[in-house]
Amino acid sequence: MLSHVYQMGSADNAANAAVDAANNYLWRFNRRRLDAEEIRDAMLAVSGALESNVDGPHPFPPENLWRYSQHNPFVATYEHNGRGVYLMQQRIRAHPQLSIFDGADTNTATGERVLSTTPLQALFMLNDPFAHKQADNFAVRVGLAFADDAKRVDYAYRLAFGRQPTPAEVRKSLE
Amino acid sequence: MDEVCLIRSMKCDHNEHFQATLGVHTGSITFKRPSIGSWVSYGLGTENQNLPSFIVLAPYLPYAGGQVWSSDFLPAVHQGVRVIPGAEPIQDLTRRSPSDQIQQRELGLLADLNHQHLIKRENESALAARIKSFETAHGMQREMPEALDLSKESDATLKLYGLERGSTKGLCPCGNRTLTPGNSPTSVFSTHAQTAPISVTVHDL
Repeated sequence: MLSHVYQMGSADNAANAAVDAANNYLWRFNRRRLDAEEIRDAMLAVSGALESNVDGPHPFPPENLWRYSQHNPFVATYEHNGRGVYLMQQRIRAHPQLSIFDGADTNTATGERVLSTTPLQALFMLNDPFAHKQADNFAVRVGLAFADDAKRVDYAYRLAFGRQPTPAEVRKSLE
Repeated sequence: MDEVCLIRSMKCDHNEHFQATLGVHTGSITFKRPSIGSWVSYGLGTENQNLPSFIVLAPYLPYAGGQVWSSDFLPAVHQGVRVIPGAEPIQDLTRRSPSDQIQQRELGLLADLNHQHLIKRENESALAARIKSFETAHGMQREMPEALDLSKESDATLKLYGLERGSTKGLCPCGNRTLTPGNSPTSVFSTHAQTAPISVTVHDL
């Protein structure tokens, strides 16, 4: 992780791309997709809602109330603001949010996740209550941190992208 | 029982609903495999880029759940999009921004940021596909409600499908509407869940 190669950016370079378009010689960092859990965690982290301490069991119903059968299977989704790796996973039904973003097949070992780009993923980001809740939290977090809009933009960029905005980005954001 | 016809030649791989449902849709009774609709979508593609290529009409979650329309090892763009009766037939289809203008501005800013990013990474097809997916999603948000709206169907058509005007009980006409030429996802599944036998309808094959 301390090597020059690891710390490079992912920006293109026409001369290098002409020789080695697939980046076999590692002249830039390979862009890497976030996994389903990472996307969820990143949204929670940026919005400030991520809880680092999630402990205790999931709120399963007490055993004496179980009336489950093949015709009436146990199906539940237990939401919390901890990391996605602590979400309850069911074999019978993939977690709805994780399955949109190529979450692992819960029936079998998944050596490598497939990567897909689908309109349902975009719809999730556009319209899902979870996405809007995190966006609201993010806006409140940034709004409360500074009174000045330019400083807010700077803070938002540092939270979301880990870097400062360019002057053009500040200008556009303020519009 | 006065007369009984006993068939001794019947055989099956498995005698449970769960495995049978998985098997009839994916060809595998044990682990999920790409659904037949995913294969059709993968093989034939779709003409209308604003609508999903594989639609699942499933008012109730069937045995084996969403595994029966999963794309499994095929790209997830070929997985079934489940349509359910009610105000929001597809998950997250309804605009949640306060107004269309606000959403247009959100999408405009997003497209602008993404394009700025793409300029420095011209060879990133994944990034271009991501930009395109937001345009498709916006198209779905605009066109799907109309494709699923049965209120403009004639009484004769509704009667043909055994539907009452204003009722959301049946969904099959939606399938046919989205399948009309030039507006055609490649397959429609009709899965009746817990009580009724599985009925599979693959149009357009």
